[in-house]
Amino acid sequence: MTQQMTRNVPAAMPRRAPGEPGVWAFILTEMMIFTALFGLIVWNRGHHPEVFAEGQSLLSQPLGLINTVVLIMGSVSVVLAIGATQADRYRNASRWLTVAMVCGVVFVAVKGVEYGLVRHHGAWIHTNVFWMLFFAVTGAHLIHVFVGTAVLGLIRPRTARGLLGARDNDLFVSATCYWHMVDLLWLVLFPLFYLVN
Amino acid sequence: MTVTTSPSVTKSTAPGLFGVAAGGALLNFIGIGFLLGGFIPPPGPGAADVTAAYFHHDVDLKRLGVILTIVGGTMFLPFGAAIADRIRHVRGIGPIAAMTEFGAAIVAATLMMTFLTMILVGLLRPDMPDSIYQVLNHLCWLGLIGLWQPGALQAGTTAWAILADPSPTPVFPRWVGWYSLCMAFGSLTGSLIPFFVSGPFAWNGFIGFWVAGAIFFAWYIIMLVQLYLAYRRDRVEAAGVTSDPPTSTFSSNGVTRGVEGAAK
Repeated sequence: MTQQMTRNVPAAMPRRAPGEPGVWAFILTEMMIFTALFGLIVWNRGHHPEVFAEGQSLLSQPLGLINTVVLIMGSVSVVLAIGATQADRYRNASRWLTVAMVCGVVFVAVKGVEYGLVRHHGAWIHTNVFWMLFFAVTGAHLIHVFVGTAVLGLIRPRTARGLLGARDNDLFVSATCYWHMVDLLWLVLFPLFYLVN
Repeated sequence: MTVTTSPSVTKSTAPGLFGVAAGGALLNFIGIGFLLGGFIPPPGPGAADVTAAYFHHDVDLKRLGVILTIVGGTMFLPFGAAIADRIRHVRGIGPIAAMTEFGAAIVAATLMMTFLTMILVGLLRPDMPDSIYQVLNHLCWLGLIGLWQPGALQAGTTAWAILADPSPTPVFPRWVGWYSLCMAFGSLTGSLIPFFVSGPFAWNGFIGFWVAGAIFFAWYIIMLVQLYLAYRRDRVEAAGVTSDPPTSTFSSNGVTRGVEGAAK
């Protein structure tokens, strides 16, 4: 019986990371660096709860929430772009990538407004440990949003042409994975800075 | 070991061995130097009297540590040359990437010699005002850890060459290119060092020293291992050439681009 079942099981497909496997060396290292930064935030929150509470009171939760929704919309667009390429609708995929890039630009703009508001309140990296971490970590994340948007911009023309190159499909999926990483990092940063008290 | 395949073409494994030896020396000398010099973590951007106290204790041991670290820093040159020797074979971008990578290695070695001399000056003269030690210490570590650009350039150009390599038997695996890119990108944390005299982003802080240092030295370890693997492939290849010289093939630059299945 067991032998019969074993015989009927199809040979296992080789498991493979999405996109170009080597890109995961990049993505995982980035995630480790951010994990260290998250640990730093949590550790300092534990040691300076009143400083964090005071800093958090100056942050605009609606702006943080808008940016969260914007990045999630970007990720949904990227998922739709992947679906479109799988259906050989490369023009559609290219349009979805454009939508994701617009989300990236909106995120940067909202972040600029938010930085302006907290600067207006006199907060800066030297004010206290909360603002040091806020500007340094969200600034690092902002650079990643820039890079993610630029990477989508680089792969978009190739996508529109049908991902014809030998490595184009892997690079396309890798670019989308990077975008998801940027989104995921914000989904941790948002509660750490704006919600957890 | 040198293998002659024809009267006009020879292939040597000596460059590979040279790179591996230089990489090993680099990591060992800097590692031991940092331990003896009390640089794990380095003296921070603290008050003048605290900094002066560092320069007044275990002076000879620290001198030895600094000298060994400078020797290790000098190894950036042969190690950078060994990496350049590999990536120059990448079609297209290879030669210019190799020159840029080696140029960045020269700057990195120069930084080590120049700025660690500041520490040697402090250790040489125990009779100076505390503020002088503070300035020397600031100059040294802002220069060594704050100037992240040469290291980032070295890793960035290496990444570019590896990722642009169209060969089915690339000089290095593509994941090494992606990690190199990550190292170049991660070096940006060094930009925060001039902003802080304490805390995690200062040059002796959790991010500024420990995290950035881990990313930086992991790159050197990875490149050392990759140079060793490439050297080993060269040896296997050279042995094959010895046993069957008529079937060996060489590219136009006289170097075979790996054996079948290598660097996948």
